[in-house]
Amino acid sequence: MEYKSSFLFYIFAILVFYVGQVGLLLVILARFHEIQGWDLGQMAFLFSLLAFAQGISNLFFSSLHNFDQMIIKGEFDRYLVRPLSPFGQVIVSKFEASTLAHLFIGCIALYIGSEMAEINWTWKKALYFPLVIAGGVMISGAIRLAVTSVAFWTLRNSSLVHTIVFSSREFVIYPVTIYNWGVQFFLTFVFPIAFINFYPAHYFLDRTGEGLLHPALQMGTPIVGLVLFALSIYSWKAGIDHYQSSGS
Amino acid sequence: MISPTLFFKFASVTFQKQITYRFDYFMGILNGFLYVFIFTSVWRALFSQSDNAVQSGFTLNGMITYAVMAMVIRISFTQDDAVIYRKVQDGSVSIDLIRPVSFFFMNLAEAAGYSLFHFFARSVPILIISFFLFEIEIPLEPARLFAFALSALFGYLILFLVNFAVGLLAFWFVEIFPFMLFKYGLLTLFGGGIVPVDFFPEVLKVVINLLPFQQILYVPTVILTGHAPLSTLPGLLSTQFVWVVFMTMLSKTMWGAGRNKLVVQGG
Repeated sequence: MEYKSSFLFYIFAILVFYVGQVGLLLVILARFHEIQGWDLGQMAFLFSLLAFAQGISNLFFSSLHNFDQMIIKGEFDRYLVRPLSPFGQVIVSKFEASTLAHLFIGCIALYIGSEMAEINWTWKKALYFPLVIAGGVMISGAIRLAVTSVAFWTLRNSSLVHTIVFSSREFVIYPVTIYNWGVQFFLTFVFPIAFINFYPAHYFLDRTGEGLLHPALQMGTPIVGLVLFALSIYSWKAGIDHYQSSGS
Repeated sequence: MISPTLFFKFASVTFQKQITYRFDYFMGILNGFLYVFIFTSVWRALFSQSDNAVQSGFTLNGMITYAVMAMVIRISFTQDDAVIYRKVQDGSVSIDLIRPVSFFFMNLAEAAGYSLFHFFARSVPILIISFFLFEIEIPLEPARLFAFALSALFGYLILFLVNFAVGLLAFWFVEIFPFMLFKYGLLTLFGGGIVPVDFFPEVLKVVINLLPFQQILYVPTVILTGHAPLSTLPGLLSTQFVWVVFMTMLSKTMWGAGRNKLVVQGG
């Protein structure tokens, strides 16, 4: 925190970076008014759930992005000889400033979304909201952890991380109903990132019908999050058991 | 200026460096194709909900062709935009200064090798897959194809010069990552790689015209896909050329000033 102005500039630059992305969405919506029946307010709400899940999971899991380098350079060995959980040590090894930008954008999107889509905030919705965010954080965290565990076997995995963690996120910026049936199935049951925002958004926006395979799916986020996270911890443990130092 | 043989030598070394990571290679193709798939799906949804078959001069097929070609060009234009920064940061720029070739052309040659790899290894496979999956319509007019080749070259040079200029900021700033994010955000929004400039509100078009970003992807893509009528091509190409000249002068000035600063510091 010593360089306050450069820190602020950094946060500002991250905001511009995301405004670039969000800006395109706004340009499209200004021109076409809606995407597959989702107007600006509803799209903003959809985006806010993603931004919160992404921002908070960045805070905990961004140290995993360069994990292959930790293994290749042998830094991970240091964690193994300390009397603390290796997982915990990797998690706290880096503070992620981009989280602030994510949360900032998430709050704005949530405000715009709830005003424009006229979300009727009941007690049940207010209680379910943090559970959905927690579920979303666990889903995206679990994906990162599982992908990271691959590095225990392959050593280098940066392109895999890039494709699975960052690019796949683009899928759920839009309502998944714009994709063909096979991709919707994939994003629901195989690689369930649609649970981060698409399904729970139906509950908050009181949307019914099209695109929802079953109404129960909109309540599924916390459970999907817990199950995936448990599975990813298992893959991490299996990775550590398999781990042999690179020797460097 | 350096000789063409030396230029190709630099380019081929970078090419060979890239091809070593085979797994990276396949993930790269998958990654590019993922984006093509997402954006074509978005356009399909947007065009299907409107009664107008033509939006801002694009039919659905024209739009899908645009989305695929813009992505293919964008991937071919992949550059390692942190390379100048690293050279200034770790001081290896001083070794490059001793070399009997111009710093600018050496870096351009390296960038070209990097990009040629992305063109052959990633763009071409994605293009072939896309031809089978989507209805791509490219008007095969010799004058247009020639104009496209020239326009792609200009676009590539402008991108290189923008990256070069941002990289040179390392002479004055300890940390230039924020500038790179800044540039990346503007390129994403105004480059036309995803949403063509035609769909932007008039107010933003004014801003876009003042920035070099639409020259990089938008202009070559509209020329190739036939969205720009033949009569407009000379005008588009001259504007690009003016940007190449302007950015070259800017980079030269920055490079001169930065190099002096390096000498003053004692290297």
